[in-house]
Amino acid sequence: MVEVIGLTKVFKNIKAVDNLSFKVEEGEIYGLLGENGAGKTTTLRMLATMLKPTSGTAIINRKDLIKKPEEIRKEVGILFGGESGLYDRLTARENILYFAELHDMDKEEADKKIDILARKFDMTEFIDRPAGKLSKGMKQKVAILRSIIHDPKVMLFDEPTSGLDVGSVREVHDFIRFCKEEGKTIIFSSHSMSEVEKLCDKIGIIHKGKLIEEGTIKDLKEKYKTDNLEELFMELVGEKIEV
Amino acid sequence: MRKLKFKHVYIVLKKELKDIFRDKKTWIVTILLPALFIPIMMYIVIGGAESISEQKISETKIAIIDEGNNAKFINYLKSTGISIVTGLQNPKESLEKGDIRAIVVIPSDFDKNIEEGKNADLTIQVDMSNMKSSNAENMIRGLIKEYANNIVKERLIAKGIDPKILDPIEVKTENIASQSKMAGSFLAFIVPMLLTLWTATGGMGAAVDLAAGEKERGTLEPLLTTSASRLSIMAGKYLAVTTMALISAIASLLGLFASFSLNKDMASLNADFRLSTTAIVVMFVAAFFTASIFAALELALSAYAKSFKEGQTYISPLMFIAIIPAYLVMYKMPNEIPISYFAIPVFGTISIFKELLYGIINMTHIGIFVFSSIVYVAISIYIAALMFKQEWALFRV
Ligand SMILES: Nc1ncnc2c1ncn2[C@@H]1O[C@H](COP(=O)(O)OP(=O)(O)OP(=O)(O)O)[C@@H](O)[C@H]1O
Ligand SMILES: [Mg+2]
Repeated sequence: MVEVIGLTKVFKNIKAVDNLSFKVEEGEIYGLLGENGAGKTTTLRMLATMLKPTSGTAIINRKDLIKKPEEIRKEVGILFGGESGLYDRLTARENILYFAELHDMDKEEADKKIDILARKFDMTEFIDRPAGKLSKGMKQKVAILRSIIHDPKVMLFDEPTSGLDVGSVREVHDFIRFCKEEGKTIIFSSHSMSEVEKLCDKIGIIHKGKLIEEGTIKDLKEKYKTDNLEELFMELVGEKIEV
Repeated sequence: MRKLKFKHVYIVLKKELKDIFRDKKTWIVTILLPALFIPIMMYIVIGGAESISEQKISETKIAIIDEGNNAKFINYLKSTGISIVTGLQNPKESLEKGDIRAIVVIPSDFDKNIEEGKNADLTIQVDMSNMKSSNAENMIRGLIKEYANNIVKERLIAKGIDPKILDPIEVKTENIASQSKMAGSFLAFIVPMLLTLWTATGGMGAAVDLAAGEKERGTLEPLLTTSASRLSIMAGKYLAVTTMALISAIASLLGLFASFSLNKDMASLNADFRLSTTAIVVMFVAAFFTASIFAALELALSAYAKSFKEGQTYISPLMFIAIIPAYLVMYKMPNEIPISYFAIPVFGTISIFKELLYGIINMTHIGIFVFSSIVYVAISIYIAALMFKQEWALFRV
């Protein structure tokens, strides 16, 4: 479970994230929707302990983000960006093992786990090939495997499909659903309402760092009496820009 | 989060070295280039000089055109050992082709004129467009001058005058330096500069790749969310960069020693030149300190850079920090080096190298150097560690 409480991040003169609060239950996918520069990446980076919040905190699986960042890291897995980076000269397996070891996993145990997951995700054929020689889609799979190797209870996805072809997008979506089935708590950021609508149980729309609307898809449709959430999103965000 | 965990440091170090060494470029830039640099330079400098001065007198072929019967002078030339080619159809053509280096044309009455106490003249034909031929001219002029000096002496003696009158001042140069000292001075001239240069540049490629490159690839974010602290990650990367710098420095040293043992002229110097074990140990320590300082600074700059390219831009000027002090110390003799130099980064390294290569082991200097280096290493590592903790540096936009 993730509970974000008044999370705020100020860069020199920009309030990138402004007093953000929301809650995501286990097995739930929360869609963080916002335009460019809305503060999605900054929010997820704070939740992944990469950035220190200016104020506010989050409780992740009963652990406080500010007080126990080391423990939070064991709980969290991240997949940031569509083209997730790998070390080209290491094999896919070595890439994943490196992160597993840095997560304090036993090397042999991690290796076995990679074999199991590679079979599950249909990667056995290229798992021992250098990452630099893999196709974009294969690389994305390696990055996915890497993000769950330490079995995190919370998954953070920051626009994980940007720049991917249709096939790869579907694989990422399947993977997110797989995480949901595993009972993980999932936060997923996107600037596309249609993508969020397809996947998420709950949506939070952020604009200039502030949460301006939140609810389940059903709630939002009822509240605004519309079936076209894409339009609603444009409207909400557009309105705010004029202010 | 701030804790240094050796297990993580080791994992990072191991991975980075594996990654680096799978790159062929690394082998070329950090090992092959430093190793071959000195041998190639020596081959060009010494080899080039040699091929000109190679003209030992016995290997210099000349032809003589005797227009009379000047046996006396020809016998003198023969006695010098110069190689006289006879029976040529067309000496001029041979000269043009480079088969011979010069032609000495002796007029018919040459010997006679000298015997009679008159002046005589002589022509040397050379091909000035050919280095070796024009060198032969110098050589022949020298021989003739010697011949002429003897004639002058004979004539003076005949007149009852002491020939010493011609040389009122006699200058003698005595070289008190032993062979090993001379070898040392040559080494001391060039090695500190090269060693410092390679310790500074050897880790650059790795430093750029290990921080800025990590950002560009997008591997930094997942890396920072592992259980390894930033300090541990930084430490592992720092050790990897230091290792690369040291490998470069050692490769260049091996290249130097190899060229010494392969080059026949150098080998004679080498035989007399011995570094004591203490000197080698101190040199290694000094190289390690210097590599450490540069590695930490390079990594700090790389962590600040947004991309690979930006990283290279920030890091390459560090080379001047190595070259300028090296140049300033290069022409100083060990006893001219101010004691303060030993406490200044890079200056200290070069000065220590220089002393050691001169066979000097001055514990005060080494002490100052080691102590100040430890401080600098600590400061530079602190800067690198600080940079790795700064989100404004790691996540610059
Ligand atoms: N390290 C940083 N230093 C200064 N400003 C930053 C930094 N990171 C982000 N910002 C600013 O904070 C704001 C929010 O950025 P953020 O990257 O979180 O937005 P985003 O919603 O992820 O946008 P996008 O869809 O473009 O990825 C932007 O105005 C951005 O310029
Ligand atoms: Mg973003």
